[in-house]
Amino acid sequence: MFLYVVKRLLIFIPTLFIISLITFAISQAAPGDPAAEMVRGLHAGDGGNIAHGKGEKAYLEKRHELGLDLPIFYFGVSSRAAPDTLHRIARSDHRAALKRLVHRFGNWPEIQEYYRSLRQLQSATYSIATDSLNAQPLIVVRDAVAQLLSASDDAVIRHWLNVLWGEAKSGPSSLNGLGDLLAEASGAYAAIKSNATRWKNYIPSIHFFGTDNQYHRWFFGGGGHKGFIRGDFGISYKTHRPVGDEIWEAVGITMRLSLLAILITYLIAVPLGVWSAVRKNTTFDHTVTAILFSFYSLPAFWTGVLLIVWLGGGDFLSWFPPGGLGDLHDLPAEASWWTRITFRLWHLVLPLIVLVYPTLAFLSRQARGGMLNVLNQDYIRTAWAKGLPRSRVVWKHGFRNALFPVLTLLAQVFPYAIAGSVIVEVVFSIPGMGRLTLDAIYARNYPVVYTIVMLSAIMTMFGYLVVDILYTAADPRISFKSRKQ
Amino acid sequence: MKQLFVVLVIVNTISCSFPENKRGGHVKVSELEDPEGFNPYTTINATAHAMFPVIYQKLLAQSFSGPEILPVLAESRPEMTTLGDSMIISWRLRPEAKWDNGEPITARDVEFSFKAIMCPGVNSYPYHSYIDFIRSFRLYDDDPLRFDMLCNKVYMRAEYSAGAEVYILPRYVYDPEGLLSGFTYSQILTDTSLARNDKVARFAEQFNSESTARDTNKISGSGAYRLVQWETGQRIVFERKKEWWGDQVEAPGNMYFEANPDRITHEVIPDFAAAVTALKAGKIDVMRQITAADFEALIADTPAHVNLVTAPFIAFSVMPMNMRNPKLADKRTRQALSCLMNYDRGIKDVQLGYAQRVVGPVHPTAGEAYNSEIPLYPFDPDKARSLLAEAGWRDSNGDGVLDQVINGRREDLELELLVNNAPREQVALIFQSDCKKAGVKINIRMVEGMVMSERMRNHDFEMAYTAWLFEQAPTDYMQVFGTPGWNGGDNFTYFGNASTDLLIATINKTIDEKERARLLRQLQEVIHEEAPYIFLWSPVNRLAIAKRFSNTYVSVTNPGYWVPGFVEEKEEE
Repeated sequence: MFLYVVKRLLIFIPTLFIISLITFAISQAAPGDPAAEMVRGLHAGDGGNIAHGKGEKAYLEKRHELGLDLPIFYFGVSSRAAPDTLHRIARSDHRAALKRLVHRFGNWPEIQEYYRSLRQLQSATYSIATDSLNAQPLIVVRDAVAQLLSASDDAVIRHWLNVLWGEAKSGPSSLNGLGDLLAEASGAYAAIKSNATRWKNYIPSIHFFGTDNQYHRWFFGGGGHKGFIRGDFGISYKTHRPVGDEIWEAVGITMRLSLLAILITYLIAVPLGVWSAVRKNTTFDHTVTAILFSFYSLPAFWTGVLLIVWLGGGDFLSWFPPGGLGDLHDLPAEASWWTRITFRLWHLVLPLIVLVYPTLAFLSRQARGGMLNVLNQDYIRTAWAKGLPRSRVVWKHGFRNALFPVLTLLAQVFPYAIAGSVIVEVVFSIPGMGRLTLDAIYARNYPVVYTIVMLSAIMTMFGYLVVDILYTAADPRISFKSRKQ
Repeated sequence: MKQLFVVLVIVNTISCSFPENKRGGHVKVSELEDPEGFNPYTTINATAHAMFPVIYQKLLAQSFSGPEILPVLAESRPEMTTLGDSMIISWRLRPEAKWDNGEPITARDVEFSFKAIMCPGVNSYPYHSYIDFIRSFRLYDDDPLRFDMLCNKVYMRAEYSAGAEVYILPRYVYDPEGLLSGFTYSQILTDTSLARNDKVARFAEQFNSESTARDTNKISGSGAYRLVQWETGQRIVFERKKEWWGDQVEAPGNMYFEANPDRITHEVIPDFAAAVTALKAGKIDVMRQITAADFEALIADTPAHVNLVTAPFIAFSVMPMNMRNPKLADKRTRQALSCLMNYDRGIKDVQLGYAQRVVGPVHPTAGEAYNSEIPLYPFDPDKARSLLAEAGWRDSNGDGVLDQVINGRREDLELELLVNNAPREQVALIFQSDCKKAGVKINIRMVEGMVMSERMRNHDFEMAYTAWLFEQAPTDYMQVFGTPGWNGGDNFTYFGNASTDLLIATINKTIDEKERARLLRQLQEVIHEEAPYIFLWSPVNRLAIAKRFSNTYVSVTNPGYWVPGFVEEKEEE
């Protein structure tokens, strides 16, 4: 058994590694740029100065702080034409345009030179002071350079270069100085086309970036972070708090609620399933089945709102609080621990009802099915024939062997205990893991998302290990020792 | 619009007749989300910003009973001196103003606060662009309460940005080691090498730390309340300071010196139905931005203990159109689409009457600056059809749909919407159906918030449905309507040219309010003519406040009421 557990724990390591890779890859593919959102103004239109360069500087600093300017992984598989430094380009639209140019022409040194000349030209356009003569041409010129920086199509590039030449030649004298830089940019673009090495796109190439990459920093640490495996889950993009603290707070609340819900579900569903099996096809069996499946068909968010409206003191009965976990400060300072516990439990009644009722049908069906299989076995008939009391036949001889499907379901309890229910937590204003996860996904708060996914994976694997061990307790015939042929 | 102003007048009348002994009581406010943090420079969350004024104070603040700006930490509004292309803003602080340790609030604290915002490494980026026109501070040795701000431009928003945008923090709490005391504001602003300075880096690290945003012992300001409890995602509790400097100030009519409730609790209830039930059950006293449907339901069955009121809201429902998209490049097409929006139906059926039409980006509460002479775009499909025909839209294949052939392909228009926003979806469907009747096919595409914002910023959209929320302060339209906002700013539509830039720049440097109003009216005319946006309407703030409170200052000022002013009706002894 011990060896089996050790082996299983060792298998956890590559499994976790693969899950971490998948999570990380999905986050990289997701749209939205957290750094851009974080440096945006307080409220649109009320005085933010958008002078060129200021916003970009703040954005670059934020990207650096979040480590988003690092290569994504240890290595990148691309072509010989692609550079290994593209991740350093901060603007995603520029990066995309450069990538497309590389695919078309395959000569990064020339493309890099073209990009550098455009950036230089852009700086020059912003160093020209606006006056009454050059105001409109300057707008055109600045915009044309911005368009060029995110363009890769030949016709589009030629169009904007022509626009620039037109302004530089026939525009106001203040723009004449742009001619040299424009010639440099036009020359650089011509060089891209004349020195094209498209064949390089067909030769695969692996670029190694070392350990200073985004994945390594998140998982193994670096740049002042200890890394996930050392318990440093990073800093929340949203609240600037350690992710561990945020999760610790939320998981405490969710676990209390989930474990209570699981306990109640098992206490109700398993006996109901067993009794239904014993009284198969009786009125009791049919009634229980009908009721539980009716519950199963009720959407949780709808039931939750109804319970709040009917029992939460709004329009009808005021039996329970309408939401939240209650403020212990509302109790007198001398309140006993029992008063405090009942106060908290009182707030949990409605959420627990919503968590428990939809799961009763499934679990009781599993218990009923398992029990029916067992009740047809010879040893149960023998037990009846021996004249053993009904309770002993059912619970001692039957139930123990019918436990397997129910135990298998128990594996899901562990991730469920920490993942929480988004619907229940939102409707009943409970700040648990469900709400935290939803908020983190919407806000692209990746450190929180990664951590929740990884913890859920760990709990799932742990859950299945525990269930495997419980199998041996339920049925001594099961052994994890290897059999010799 | 439903009796909006009548209700407002009644509430304000009620609010004037409060009892003599105003102190005491407990107000519970409903919040849809957690505030995320209480560091006023590094937290950008709107819920947090609505709570800050009970802890922190600014030099000036927007009044809750009119359009004026009131002095708070400043003795009076500043003296503004224009010197060619630059300005000097001269201030003096109130001599009564004190921190919690009894020390006076001085000009050095103000300078420190501005230094902290601009300090390299401090996560206060969104603030930078609001105050970086202030280039240096001039302090006076003989008067620690007096100081000048020297600005590099003449800016109509200078007084507001300098006085009513920045909360003043105590140096002794936020920089106990005096790490920034060796540097002037001007040095911090201009010396890029300071980013590598040890003291500056240490200050930034300390200032960005969790404790300045969450630790109830560390969060400290000159406001009347202190944060005593924050249970994440559940509640935030503020307690009235027993000794508060503002109690010594005689400032009639200045609500920032009223701090009546002993306790203010913000209950986080993310689900609206649950919040409404909590309101009916008396578990909360104040709710804002109630959905139109919930508000109507509350009116139909108003709980005896609740007052339902509305106030204007400086918010706009708008549909930006990408003017560089070939289909929308012709202004007649954009004008036609403006004539295909059934505004009255949207206001009546979706907003349930709780919204008002607007001609452009200036709110009707702006008084003279709002151009009421511009005729609102009517819902007129016939006019739309003729405008579309003028713009070259034809039914080229006889399928009943008008089209324009772009690069050899017939293309429909696409309208982007936020997912999970039922009212916007309803409006979009009404628009889609009316456009179809006029022969214009609109495809609706639902996108997630951050994706939509990225697509608009990259001009990767045709039409979108979004909203603006402004403060009651002078607005700088350069960000949304100026050409510098085309690439990287918020000018998603590509509106603008040299003359509109010049007009906006002139508005921005016009201090005289009458002249500025005239220029703003002119800007609205241009925007109305070019139609870069369909201006749908401006919704109103629907509020519910427990009847036992008076002196609520329901107003257009965010969040729509002033909780510290609330006076709780005392029960008969």
